[in-house]
Amino acid sequence: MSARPSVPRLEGEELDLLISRALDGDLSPEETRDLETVLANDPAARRRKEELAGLVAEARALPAPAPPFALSTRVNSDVSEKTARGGSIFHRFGFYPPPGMAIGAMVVLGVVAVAITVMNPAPKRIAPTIAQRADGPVDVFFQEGARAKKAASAPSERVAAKIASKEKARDRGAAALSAPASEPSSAPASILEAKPAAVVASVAASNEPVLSAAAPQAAGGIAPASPAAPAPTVRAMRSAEVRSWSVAIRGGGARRWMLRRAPESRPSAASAPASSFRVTLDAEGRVTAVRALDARAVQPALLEFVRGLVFAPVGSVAGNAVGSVADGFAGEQKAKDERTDALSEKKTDKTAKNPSEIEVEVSAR
Amino acid sequence: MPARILAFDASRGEESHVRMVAVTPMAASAHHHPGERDWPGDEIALSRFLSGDVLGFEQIVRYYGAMVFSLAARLVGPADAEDVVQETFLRAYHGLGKFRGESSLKTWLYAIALNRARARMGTLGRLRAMFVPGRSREDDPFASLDDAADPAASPEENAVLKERRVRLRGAIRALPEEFRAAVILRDLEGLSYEEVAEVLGVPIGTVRSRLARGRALLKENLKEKLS
Repeated sequence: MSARPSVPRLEGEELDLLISRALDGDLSPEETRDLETVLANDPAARRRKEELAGLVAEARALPAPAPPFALSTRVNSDVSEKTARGGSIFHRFGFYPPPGMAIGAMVVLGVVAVAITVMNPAPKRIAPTIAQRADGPVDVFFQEGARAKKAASAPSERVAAKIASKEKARDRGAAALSAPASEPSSAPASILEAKPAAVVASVAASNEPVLSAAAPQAAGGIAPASPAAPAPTVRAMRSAEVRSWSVAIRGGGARRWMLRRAPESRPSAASAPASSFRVTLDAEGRVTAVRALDARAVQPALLEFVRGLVFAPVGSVAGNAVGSVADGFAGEQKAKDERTDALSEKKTDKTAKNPSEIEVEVSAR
Repeated sequence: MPARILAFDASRGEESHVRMVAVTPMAASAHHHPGERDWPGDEIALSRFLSGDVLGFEQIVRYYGAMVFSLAARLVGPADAEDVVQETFLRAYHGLGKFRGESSLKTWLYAIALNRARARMGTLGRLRAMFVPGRSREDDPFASLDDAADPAASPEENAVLKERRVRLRGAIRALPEEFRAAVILRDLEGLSYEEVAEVLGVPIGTVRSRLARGRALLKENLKEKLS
């Protein structure tokens, strides 16, 4: 009795896989035997193999597309053109950056720069208070005081004031040239010497965001923001009775105190947080006397701050020549000593014959 | 016909088949390399390029350019094939520094070309093709692949042959992308199973199954076209 050899049953995808592999010569001997057995016993499988073999042969007979003329030359020139900027340089150093690396690096650098800027903001350049722009000079304008106000009430003077106000803009430049306030020994000084008590000063534009813009106005002797700048003031200016001073506040005092123009109508002591002082200056702008205008007690440190103010005539304000606070408040003993020496010398100094008085208002920050 | 390499197993005293190697005519002559005469070989060309010699890369382009173009033309059509070739070699230029030789340069270039062709055939590529003036979606991008007539055949035979090739190209183009790539790489470009696996980045078993299914689908597509 002979046993009939078993015929493996292959259908569908399994048969297709074997036929496909057979067409590529990928079958092992056992698989080849199995497939041959199936094909010998299954006409449909045999037919399928023939069809697939014909299909593969036809596909393999398809001619390869011919490349266009000078393809290699175009490709080479295109590659060299697109890599000429930086790629070839990197290439020579053995560095092969991917195409988007430069853009990515720029983006990363930008993000880092923004992050640094946001996390460490620069000090504000525009400060709401004086202290942060204390390095610049604060212009001080001298005006004729009570006498000028009294004269201003005369009708004839009002008419003159109107005319003068019309000519103010035209004459502003000329006044700046004709009244050099930087010379204490000039004509205004003699007037001030004659009437020291009548000269009232106010620190102008101390809280205005136009400190630098105040300089030309200071040269003309006009207090632009002052409500007490009536026509007689202009007249006084034209008669060269107006002097300008500037002061630069630096150091710890600037951080603690705020210097303002003394208001025309001083508020009551109860409501005013600021202290007002009448400061007497010598011809060189140094403070020789300080008198508190308020009845309340004055802090010693505040008094020291006001005493330390050194004004400079406008016109000689340049660089380090700007009057500055020798900041005794901050504990600079050396500056204190110098100021003390200067004040003691002032008593006997013949140049101190042009004392001026200004009114300043100082408030704590 | 496949050639069998026979070995003699002395311990068993019989012949045994140790391996069957398919030697197909098209595998050796699928492509004519224009730069074959001065081709120094992969290693020398690569070392030249990596040392900064431009000539090394030019030789690579000359030798493999036609091959890459053929694959690109079969995947995206001749009209876009040159762009794919340029993108392929540009990528190759930037990537050759990282080429470690784990695969052959040929399969590495084929893989880049396949990726570039896929990108061109993707959504963005189809959108771009819609806005290219003078080209409609109904145009057959493979029309120019129809080769010249065989001078030895009669005009009728040439017409039939041309018709069959057009139909076959259309059926190949209608295959799903994964099967189409396998069929093109194996049957049209003549790569071995191992090379196809390297290009596609899949195991050899996957290549076998994709080829089998792709061929079966191709046969069905042709039947549908005939019917």
